[in-house]
Amino acid sequence: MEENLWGEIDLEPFSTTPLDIIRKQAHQLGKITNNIVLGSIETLRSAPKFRFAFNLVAPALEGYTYNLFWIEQGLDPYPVEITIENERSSIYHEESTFKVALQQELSSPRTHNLIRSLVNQSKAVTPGHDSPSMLDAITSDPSTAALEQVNVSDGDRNRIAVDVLEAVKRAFRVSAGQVILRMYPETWNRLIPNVSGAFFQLSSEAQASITYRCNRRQDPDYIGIALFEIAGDYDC
Amino acid sequence: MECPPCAGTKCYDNVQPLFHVFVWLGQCVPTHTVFAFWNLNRQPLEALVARLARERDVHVLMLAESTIPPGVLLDHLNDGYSSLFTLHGPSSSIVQLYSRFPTTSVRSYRDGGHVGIRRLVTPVGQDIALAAAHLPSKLHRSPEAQGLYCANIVRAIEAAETSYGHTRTIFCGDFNMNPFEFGVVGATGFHAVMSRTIADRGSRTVDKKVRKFFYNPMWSLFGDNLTGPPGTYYYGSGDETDTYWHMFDQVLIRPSLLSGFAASDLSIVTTIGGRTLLTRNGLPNKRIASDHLPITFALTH
Repeated sequence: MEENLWGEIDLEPFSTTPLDIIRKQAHQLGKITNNIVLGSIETLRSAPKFRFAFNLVAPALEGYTYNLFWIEQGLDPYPVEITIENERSSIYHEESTFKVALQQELSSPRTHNLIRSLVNQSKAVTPGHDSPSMLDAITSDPSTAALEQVNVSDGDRNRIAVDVLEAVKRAFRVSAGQVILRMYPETWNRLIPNVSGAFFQLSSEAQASITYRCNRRQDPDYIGIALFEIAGDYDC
Repeated sequence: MECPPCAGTKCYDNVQPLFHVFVWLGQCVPTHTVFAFWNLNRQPLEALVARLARERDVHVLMLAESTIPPGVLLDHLNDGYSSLFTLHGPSSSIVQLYSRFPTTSVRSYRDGGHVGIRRLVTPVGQDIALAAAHLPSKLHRSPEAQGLYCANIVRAIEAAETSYGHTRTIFCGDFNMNPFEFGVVGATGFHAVMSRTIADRGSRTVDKKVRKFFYNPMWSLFGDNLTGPPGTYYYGSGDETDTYWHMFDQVLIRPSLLSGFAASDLSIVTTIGGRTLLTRNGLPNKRIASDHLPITFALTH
């Protein structure tokens, strides 16, 4: 029998490497969001120093990818470093502390807001609204965006104006930014006679801080777009 | 329809459906796009930025190290302006991007890894990929880390190009490296060369891998033999090798876009609204503006 100087090497994989842990969480995200926003692990660097990026991916938004953070480790799984771009990086020496830090990041308001925004914007570009006169208000900043849908099938133009304003207010949860209102053909056709006039003088209180422009475009799903640019502080 | 006569614009009767908006509104469609990039050094320079945008007729504005709330900046940018700026992509992006194009004309592809990549569907002409980066300072990162960032950024850009099915890419930003440094000129980095003729070859094979070229027009702005400053950033390190002036803020252009790029449209901005951005010694005056000078360039469709 040949002499074995190696001893018994345990070749079983580490039960939970940092990579395993973030992979599972990436998988979880798809489940949570019905695969509207996916978690994706990207290898940025391999041996001897590994770097893996944790990305949020929105397939409906042409695969838009947002790098949430990355982890870096050597040949051993620990210590592992978590880095959030341009913010901070911290080193963890064991699984338990790594998991705590990961949980803090994944459950942070910043992360939740991003996911919510990506889900909302993905829904906004995906056909399947149940009302032909539905009106969507979304902000164009994915990190702060929210989607509100308002049924404007009933009421006169003043009623609709109030609905629009309320949609803007709800969609707009930051102090400044932009809100896009998208109207289905039926809604647009009802509003078009007023579009060039004072229809979007939404209210006296909003008028001072909201500038707007209304553009018409051909689109199979949406025929009208009104872009509200909210400049300055607007207390919703 | 009749378009009012205005410089650098054309009227199109049969533009793509997306751009009916321009005709419908009776506006002129720009035939060239003016870009500006500026590292604001976290200064409240909204008035200067707005003045720059107006003075240079900027269509696409990219800002690094901007701490100006987007609403405040939009307020200044759009004050009395008929063609409104909007913010595209997350305000948390490494380089904030504002443009006067419709919101739907700028589509986000990626944010992270010190780069933001967008698809810009200009009113006329073909769409382009626009990547904007701000790399960490060499003071805080090793050359090895800097090289890794460059390689990852190039990989992200190439992935976007594959996704878009073309290589009409503009890549600009504050690279925190000079055009002659490895990360910018190296084949595994940005692979940006100083000569149009060489860039026009498209690519070269290095270690059996095809590496696409960028053209780096910033080389033409180095030194004293021009009217502009010798670089975009001044820092005397006191090291044995010290160039003092640095060309950290750069634009790189893929060969497929070079026919629409004129070197004369590239400039380092030293005055805005008649106000100099330089000290009496000719250095960037960070007390009244930023420690970086803005750059502007244009692309004709």
